Amino acid sequence: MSFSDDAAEALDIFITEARELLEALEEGLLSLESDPSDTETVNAVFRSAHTLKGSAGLFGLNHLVSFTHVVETLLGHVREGEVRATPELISALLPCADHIAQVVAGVADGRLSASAAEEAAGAALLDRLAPFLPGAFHAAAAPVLPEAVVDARGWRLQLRFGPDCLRNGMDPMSFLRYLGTLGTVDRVHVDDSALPEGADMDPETSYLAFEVDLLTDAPKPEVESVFEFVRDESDIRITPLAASSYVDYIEAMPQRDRIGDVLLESGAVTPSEIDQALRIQRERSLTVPIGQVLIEEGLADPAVVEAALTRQRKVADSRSADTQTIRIDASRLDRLIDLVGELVIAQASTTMAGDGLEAQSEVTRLIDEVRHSALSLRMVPIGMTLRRFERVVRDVCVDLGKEVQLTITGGDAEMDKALVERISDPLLHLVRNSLDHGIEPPAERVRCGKPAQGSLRLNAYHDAGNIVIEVADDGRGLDRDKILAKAVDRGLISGSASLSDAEIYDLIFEPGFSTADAVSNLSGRGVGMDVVRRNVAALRGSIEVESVRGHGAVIRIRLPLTLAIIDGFLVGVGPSSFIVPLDRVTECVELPPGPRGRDCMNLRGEVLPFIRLRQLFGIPGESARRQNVVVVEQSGQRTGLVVDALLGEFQTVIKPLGPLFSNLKCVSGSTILGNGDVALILDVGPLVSEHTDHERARQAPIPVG
Amino acid sequence: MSTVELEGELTIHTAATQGPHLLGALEEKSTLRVRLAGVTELDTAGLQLLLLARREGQRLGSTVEFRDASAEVRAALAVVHLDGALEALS
Repeated sequence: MSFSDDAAEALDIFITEARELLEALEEGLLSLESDPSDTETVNAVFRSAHTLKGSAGLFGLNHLVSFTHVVETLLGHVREGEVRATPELISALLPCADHIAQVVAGVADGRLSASAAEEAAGAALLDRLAPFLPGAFHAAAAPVLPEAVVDARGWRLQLRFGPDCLRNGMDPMSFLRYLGTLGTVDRVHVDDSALPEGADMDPETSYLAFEVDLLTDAPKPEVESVFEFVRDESDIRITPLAASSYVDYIEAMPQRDRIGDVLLESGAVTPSEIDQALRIQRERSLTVPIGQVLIEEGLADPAVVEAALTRQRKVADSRSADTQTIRIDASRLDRLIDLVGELVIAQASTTMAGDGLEAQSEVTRLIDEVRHSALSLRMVPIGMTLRRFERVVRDVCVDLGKEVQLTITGGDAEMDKALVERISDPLLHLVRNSLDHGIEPPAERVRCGKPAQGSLRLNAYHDAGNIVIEVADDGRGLDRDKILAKAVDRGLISGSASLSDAEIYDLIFEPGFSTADAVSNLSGRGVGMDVVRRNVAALRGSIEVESVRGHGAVIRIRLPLTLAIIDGFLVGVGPSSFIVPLDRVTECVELPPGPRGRDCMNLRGEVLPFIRLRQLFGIPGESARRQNVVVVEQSGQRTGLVVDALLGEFQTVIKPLGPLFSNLKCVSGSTILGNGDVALILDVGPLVSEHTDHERARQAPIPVG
Repeated sequence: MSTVELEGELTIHTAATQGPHLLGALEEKSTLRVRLAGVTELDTAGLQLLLLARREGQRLGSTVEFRDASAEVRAALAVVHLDGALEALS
């Protein structure tokens, strides 16, 4: 089963809508838990489920419809007042919302019918709902196992001979008879639907079509050669017998990157066939896709390869584009169109006689506004993501027997939609971590003189071109000594190192670091915080911890507002240009004269270490006579970058580096300058920390023994 | 109930004459018995005549029975797995 492009687009919209409905559903259920009699919410929840079911029906997603139908029915009873929205009911319904979300995610991955696991999970959930439903209600279908891939060797032949074949002395039946010599004709279907009404029929014209299942070991070319003489005027299709089941199987498969793997796993081709195809591919040229080779050599059925390719593309798509569709506030779009209109007028006026310069500057101003406006299309309030954690907090509290009040502030702060989606997992981890390790059980809290109910605060705000998200709890805080001991124990630092509190707290983001005494199923497995930091760093953000022992901890994630464009500061070193993200730059000063080899300077009485970009990037040539220092700040630490020329602010459209350079530190991307030159964008964080590490290693005493 | 006897080849070479002969025997709401004992050869042209006769019969509300198929006919129908479907070939 597959959709045309139009339908696929509509399906994308459905998925976006479904996710929104699910969020509304979950939010409604949670608020029902605290206020079960709120009819407004009951109605909203019911409508969400109802709309979801309706939309799913439009796409023939029957598995989604049948499951959601039960949920909707139950919510209908709640609306009618026949069933009370007890906490037990909410607890049974919430996992159903999760299940629907999972099924929707499956649909987004291209699975248009339920997998066996989904069927089973769905049935189990519906069983849990059954006691709440008035009267006997059994909608839970028995789990259906997906059909195993039939291991039949053979070909399905679809034969429609040309209308004149009989007159030309070619008798279709004699071909069929001959097929019998190649193997066993398992099934023949004679399609006489093309036969006209009695009087209109020309007895000498061939009207019949045949579908033949031939069980044989004969390769496809051999079967094909049977029809050599009628090929031109006939429509002959030969596909592996089990193709249709292979296609189903491939569509339901987990993600695979390589088409060969996809085909192999499904069993549509054998390893030796893949080898053969690879050899042919090598002999011919590497530019021929393996899928094409497989089809041409008759090793795989085009439908199967197509399914595998689609599968592969989907995997790639889901990696490259997190968001296929986004919803945009119409007024923002109008504003953008207005601006573009103004731009067109301004552009026209530059060509007219008069003050060209003024018109030119107007164009520049408008372009800037258009850019801002276009970027704002991708902006969504972060509140939506933060509110999702209400559910997490509720569930974790039930699991751990803790009481926690979640407060969300600054939900209106906007950020790039792609960023919102990619930050949600790291945030989830931080929230769980706070709940699990930060906030103490009620008894312990009371002993410490704190209220039994803990408090978790999610706060978001804009700060100098960044968005800052804080996860703050009033729990036990980080144990400085324990972290230190553990770090020494793990060999992360030497026992004699003297570190600031901030540096010690930073250690929790090291790989394999966990101070939790009890490893729970939530966190404390030592995986996570390092992943959190990696994820945040991948979004060009930073993370820091603040903590007061016994009073709580604040974890602060700082992210750029968007991934697409930054305000940069353009500097020149010899013939090369570099971009320093402007929000990192605090000031620029002239490099005071001094000896060549030094690497720090006096900045208003403070020592400022600096990095010579010329040296770092190995740029040949003599430095300029008067060099400048760009002072950048990273997590409170100031460092200077020595450059030849300061070229001013530059609106930088970030072009990501190719995969070849993915391991490159210190450079986060590139951009194209007005004159066509390429400038590298410096990644200040790694640049500074790398340099610091390097310096530390250089200055550390040489270990003896 | 009427009977029509087909004899000789039922192939592309004879279809132009056998066709009208067979189809002309069809009447509304009755049973037509088609005897195939004398058929010495059957090819696709013949096959589609038999299929057409059956379909036309259904359209007219009649039954078309094929009877006494010769060995040649049976063998040919077996190739397309219709030996059972063209019922009552006995």
